[in-house]
Amino acid sequence: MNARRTGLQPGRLPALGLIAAAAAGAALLAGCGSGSKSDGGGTARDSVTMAIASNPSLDPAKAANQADGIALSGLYDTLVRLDAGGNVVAGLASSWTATPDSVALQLRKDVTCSDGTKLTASAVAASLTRLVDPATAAPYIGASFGPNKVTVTADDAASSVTVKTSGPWSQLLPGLAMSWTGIVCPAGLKDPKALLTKSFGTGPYELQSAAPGRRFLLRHRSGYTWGPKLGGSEAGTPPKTVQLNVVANESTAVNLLVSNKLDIALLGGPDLERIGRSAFTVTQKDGGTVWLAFNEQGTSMKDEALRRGVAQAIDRAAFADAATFGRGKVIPSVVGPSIQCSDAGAGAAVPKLDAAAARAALSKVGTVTIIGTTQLGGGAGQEYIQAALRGVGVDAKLRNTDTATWSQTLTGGKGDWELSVVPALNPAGSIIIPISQTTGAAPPKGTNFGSAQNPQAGAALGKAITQVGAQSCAAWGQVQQALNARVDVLPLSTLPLSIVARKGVSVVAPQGGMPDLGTIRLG
Amino acid sequence: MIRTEPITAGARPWQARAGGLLGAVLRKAAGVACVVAGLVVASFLLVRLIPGDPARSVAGTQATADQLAVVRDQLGLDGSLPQQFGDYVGRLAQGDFGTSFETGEPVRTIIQDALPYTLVLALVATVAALVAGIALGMTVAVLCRGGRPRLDAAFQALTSIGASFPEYVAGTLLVLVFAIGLGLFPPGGSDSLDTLVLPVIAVGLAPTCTLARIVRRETATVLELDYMRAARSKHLPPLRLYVRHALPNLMTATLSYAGLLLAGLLSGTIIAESVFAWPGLGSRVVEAVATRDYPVIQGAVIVLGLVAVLITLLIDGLLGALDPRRRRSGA
Repeated sequence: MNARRTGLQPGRLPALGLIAAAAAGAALLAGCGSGSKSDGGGTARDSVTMAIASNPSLDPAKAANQADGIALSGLYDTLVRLDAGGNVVAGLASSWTATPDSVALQLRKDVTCSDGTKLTASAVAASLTRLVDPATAAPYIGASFGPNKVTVTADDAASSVTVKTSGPWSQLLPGLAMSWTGIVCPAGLKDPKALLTKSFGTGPYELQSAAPGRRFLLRHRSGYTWGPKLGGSEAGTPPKTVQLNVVANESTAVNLLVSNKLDIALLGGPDLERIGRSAFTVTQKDGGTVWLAFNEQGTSMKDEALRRGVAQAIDRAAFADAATFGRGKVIPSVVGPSIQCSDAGAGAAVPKLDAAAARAALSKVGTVTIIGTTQLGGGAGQEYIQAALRGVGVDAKLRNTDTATWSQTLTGGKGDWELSVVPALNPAGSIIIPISQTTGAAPPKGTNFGSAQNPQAGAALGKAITQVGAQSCAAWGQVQQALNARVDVLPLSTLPLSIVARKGVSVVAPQGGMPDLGTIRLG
Repeated sequence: MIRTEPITAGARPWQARAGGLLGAVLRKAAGVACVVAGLVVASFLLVRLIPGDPARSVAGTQATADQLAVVRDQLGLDGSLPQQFGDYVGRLAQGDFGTSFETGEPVRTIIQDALPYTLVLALVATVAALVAGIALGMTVAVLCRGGRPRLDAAFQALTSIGASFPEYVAGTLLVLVFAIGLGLFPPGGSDSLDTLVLPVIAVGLAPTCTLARIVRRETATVLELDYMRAARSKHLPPLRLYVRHALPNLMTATLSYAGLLLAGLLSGTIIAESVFAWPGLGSRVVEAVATRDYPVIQGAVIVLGLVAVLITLLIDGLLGALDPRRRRSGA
């Protein structure tokens, strides 16, 4: 008996070598050795490497999440900005005059686009006109302009732009600081598809290369002098390049940080504990708020007594511990404490923890379905609420799902849930976002998730959006108080974000816990 | 005369072989066509069974009904299911996988960018598992021939643990020890060749152990065959004895397993990609599923399915070329 009879022929073995050679060759050819020194973020001090959780949208109009906001903060400047205190400061516009339904802005005269062309008033008007065009379907323009029609006019000779809304909207001026209003220069407007791979902005950086799923390399623009003063340290120099690495997994981001492969990352989970504080600066920010929505559309939760009973069953501090790894703080209203016109006094109207009262109120409530997304602390906060309700005798069912499934249920306008934990990231730091999710039109037409129709809140909202300054702020406070008083929402906790930066690298996150690339400094 | 192969009456042997080859090719082609059709239909229907609205995912929770309607129209989701399927098949016929709902990138570009990373990881892990598994299995089989029960027991225990070691646990431990603890390798990324080391070990550990067990068993059988006894009686050098005479007879089972392993790893490196920030197709698919990015999921399913089919065909062909029994049976 020989090898030929029993199986393979010895002479064919080199085929295995071919497989191995092919594998090795493929490894080399696939770009594993692209050799960018920037991967070692801590080694090249003229560059900074930062983690972002997902591929960013490079079209300002499509900005919807934190990764978008971070990337756009470096590429596209806005007319005005919000500083760390929530105050409106100069951006591309050096001065402005605001009324409840219009803003007239005087543009700086030294601003150029990344292609070297001078930014004109008509270019600004064209960019904003494209943003508000319904065909653009920019998801967040409501936070800037409300439900109004918007007209933008330009005077090139005077370098001025006027933005006018069809009705009063007190948030018009701060609305022009949101990342989705970033000004796209004419070359980008001519070819919107090119916005996916190139930048056409007036920001401190321009896009050098984009490798979705891996990295986005931004190069600092020489001659950029019109950066806003956002309240951070001006010391140091901006890096020549900023590399945004897509790192979806927070544990991996921390591994890269401690191995000197990243300089900046945003962390919300327990991996923060692995960061050595001697090598990094950690800044805590509120990325948004978490609240409990009651579905008042066709469920038992339209009864205020039952809503109050649910609120009395929940220890909000315990929820914050469970949902945010002990880093979140109990909040007085759905508006985050760091956002202008947040009303700390609204917390007085939130029902206090009272298990006996909750048990009595909820004795005949029947089954209560809680929905939530596992994106928030793995769903632990929802599990706590289920346990708390069961603790007072409620038959509480929990549907913890991924975000897409949860948001479809939340906005479906059906009575198939009673309670929902809503983690509302607010990277723009806009008061409109949490308020529009708790007042106004109910789903599926609107975004008032709980479908609450609160007359006091509605009346106060009417004042808040038609007035400006302190009067407007007072009215915003009344909205928050009215929502708490009728228990249309239960404010739960902040959504804490930790900005971790290597020593020697500084960055400012003026609003919404979103680091602004233009503020990165070395040294 | 007894014929071992069917030959058409009057045809000459080379014609019969050509006809047989043509028939086999046609059969394989028909099989591939069926798989492709199945993939197209299944990928289209399955993504639509996942709860969640892609338009809502794109537009965000803040979008109003009117904005959602615009987005739905732009994404081509406003037509009936048969209409959408017709559009989808029409585009596929022109080689167009569509564009990502989330990023607007052509799906073809996404696949072109990400697939090489997945292929490299899967291919290198498979080759590494083959080399390490064969070496380990053969060594233990040779050493344990006729004795050393403790070594065999230790081998069985360790490979059993290794084969059942979850990828994410292996990946996490490797990062903690070799990247963060010892600083020998990068903990993630893809910008240099050394970033491949830890993901390959994480992905290849369990298959290596499984393969080593298969090889150990097969080797033990082969070593007792008459031709190996004859070879040993000639006092051949060990390397020649085992590599030239024993190894070829292990390759049928080994390559069959390697084919299955490689095809499985194409879609099975998702966790390693996440742990090591490896920018392969798996991580793009996970992101696409989370955001209900139908075109990306569909494109990835079809391409990965096709690559798996091609690998299977390649392994079949390789085994047929190397194994005379298969050639004779026409398998």
